[in-house]
Amino acid sequence: MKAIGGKKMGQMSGLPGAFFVCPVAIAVASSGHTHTPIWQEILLAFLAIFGFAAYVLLCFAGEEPRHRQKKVFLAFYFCSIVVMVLAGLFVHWHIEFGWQKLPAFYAIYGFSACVFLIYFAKGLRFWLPKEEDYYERRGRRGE
Amino acid sequence: MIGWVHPGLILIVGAFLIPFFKGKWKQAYLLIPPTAALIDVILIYKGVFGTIPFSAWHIPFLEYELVFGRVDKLSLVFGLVFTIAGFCGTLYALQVKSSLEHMIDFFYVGSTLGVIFAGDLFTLYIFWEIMSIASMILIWLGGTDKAHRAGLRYIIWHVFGGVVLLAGIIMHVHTTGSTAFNTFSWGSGIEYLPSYLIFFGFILNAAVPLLHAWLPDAYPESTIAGTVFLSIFTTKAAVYTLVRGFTGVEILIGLGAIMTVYPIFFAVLENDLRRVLCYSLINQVGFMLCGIGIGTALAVNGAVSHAFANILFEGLLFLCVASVLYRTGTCKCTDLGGLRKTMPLTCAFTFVGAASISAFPFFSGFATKSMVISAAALGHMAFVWILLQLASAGVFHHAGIKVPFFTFFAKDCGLRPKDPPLNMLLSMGIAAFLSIFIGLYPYSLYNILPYPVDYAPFTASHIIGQTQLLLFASLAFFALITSGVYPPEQRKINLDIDWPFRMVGGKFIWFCEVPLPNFARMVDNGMKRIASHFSSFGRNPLRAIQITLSTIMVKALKAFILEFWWRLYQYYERDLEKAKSRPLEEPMETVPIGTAVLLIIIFFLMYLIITLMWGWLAP
Repeated sequence: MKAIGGKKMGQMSGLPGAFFVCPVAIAVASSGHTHTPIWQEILLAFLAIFGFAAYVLLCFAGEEPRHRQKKVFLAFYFCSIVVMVLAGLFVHWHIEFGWQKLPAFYAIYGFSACVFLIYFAKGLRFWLPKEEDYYERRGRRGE
Repeated sequence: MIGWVHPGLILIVGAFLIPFFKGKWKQAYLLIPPTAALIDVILIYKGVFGTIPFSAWHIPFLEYELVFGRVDKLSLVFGLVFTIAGFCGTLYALQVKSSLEHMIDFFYVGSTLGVIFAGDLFTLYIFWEIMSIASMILIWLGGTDKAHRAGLRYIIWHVFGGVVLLAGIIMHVHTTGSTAFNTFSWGSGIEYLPSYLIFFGFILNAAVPLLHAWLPDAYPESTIAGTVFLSIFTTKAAVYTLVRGFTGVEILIGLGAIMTVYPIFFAVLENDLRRVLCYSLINQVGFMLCGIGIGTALAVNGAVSHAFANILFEGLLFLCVASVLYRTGTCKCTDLGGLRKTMPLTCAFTFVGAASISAFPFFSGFATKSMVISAAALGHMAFVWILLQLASAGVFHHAGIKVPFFTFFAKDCGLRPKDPPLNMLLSMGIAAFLSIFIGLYPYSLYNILPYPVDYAPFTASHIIGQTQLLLFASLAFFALITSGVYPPEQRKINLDIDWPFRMVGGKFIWFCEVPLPNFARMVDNGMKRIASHFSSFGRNPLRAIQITLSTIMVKALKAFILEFWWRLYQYYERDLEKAKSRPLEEPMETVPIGTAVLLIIIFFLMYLIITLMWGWLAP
């Protein structure tokens, strides 16, 4: 059981470096196709990587037995959520539909959509799941 | 100038040579045909075989012409991604010992390329059927009884679709007189019946709602590598044919939008990770169909590029789950967990696939799926847009979180598997690299799309909006899982739309196995009795007549036995016994020749009289 715990954290020390190098690389790669200034692109790439890292760390935080760094990961995750909502306030949105004018519309929609999906699936659980040999037993009646 | 070589032919011919190699040589040889096919497609792009678009390999067939090579931008995009996928799949499957499985893989990939480059409907149909049969055998190679039965169900669906397609093709050729495979006419009315039939054949392979059950039913029953191959080719070939034939058909918007949403519920409930991915595959194809249905240049580009990217990242996810299955022998959520410590590379690749499928910015799904969603927004299709965004959150939830989380995190399942062998890691690495590359530099993909692209994926609102959507979807997931609302994984299967078919099918087979043979036996016995009566009549007519008459009398009188005819009944009963006791073959009573001659003369005389009378009366 000694593998459990963060003994490999030493090897991960390269990650924070990548965390700052990647946005620049991404911005440079995609520059020339957009008209936005480079600092905005770097910021956007940084935010995107921030979100991705938060998602990966959330998986670590949800682990059982609980990860040593769970609190740090969760703090990082909630930090990223707040940053995303704040960033959304400064963005010029392309409005196609009325509801997109709502502040943090995507955040609200993402959350409520996921809750709806899970509750709906939970409702389906009343009659969809069957034993693993259901068809073998039901389909062969009369033999 | 070199003549054009069909990349599918390279694979199909290459398949026949596989059994001649053994061991290491076989592994080395296996990589040659897919590599050659890939180089072939790249050479086409370079213009070695002529300027694109061109058409090659016309072969006369009856009074028609088979066109094996119709090369334009659309077929080339699909050709390129299918050859890449074929290469990655073969590289992944090098450990497989069975020559048969490799041959079927090659046939499958080759026939799909045949569909892609087919310029007329007959060629399309031929390769279409080879594709179904190859995929069925690939499912059967799973080797279990379940796989056998799932393969049968699979082929029933596909033979049905194939027959409808053929009927449509024949009617189309009959009415238009042309076998060319181009956009079909579409409208409402009976005169569009050929188009409807062909459309039905195509959408069945794309697994649209109500015709989708074969996919999650059969694909996960195949071999470890077989499922990866299956997940890539059939559905995307159907997407290609729909782009080619039915761009802008509005019913596809509705079908696609429904198709993106409803598999999510099944994926949430499903325990088998390969089935989860099968449902997410249906969901992804939904985005493509939606794009095809919207039919604007942006939407079709979105559909094609999403098919391209999807083959890579969906394939990657299937490869990762297959690696877990290869090392642990299971891919059920309930049996897995905590594998990240011993399978770190597989875990990393899964994250790349998961981030791509859920369209994190700078991963491939982001640059492609957003084109379809933007096209829906530009077309002011509010409801479709809402559904597609719902599906985006949903796909993140089941493919983006569920797959990596329940495999590599969640709980410690006690298994300590290593990362898979080098070739599998390489194969996953190529797919992961391409997914990230397309995500970072989507213009490389945009340049080869059928229509010129005027779309900027990396706008601030798009990146922030998508990240918000995904992060809050993950927040909902973890909030519900920690509060215990999230339905826990169960060792169960889920009923799907094929339930009535399978139930009715089971009853039908029972009907064929039990009442039908009984009826057949009854008819058989009846016929035998009649035959035996005839034979006994032929042998001894007198006895037979006697038996029949006295049996009738005995039966008739027995029904109402009364004092009055008791004696009569007894008489017939005795008569029957006497008749039965007579030998079956009695010596014939001979007739003297004189009598016979007399009889003949009488007959002739009658004949003469009739003739005379006729001659006398008739005029």
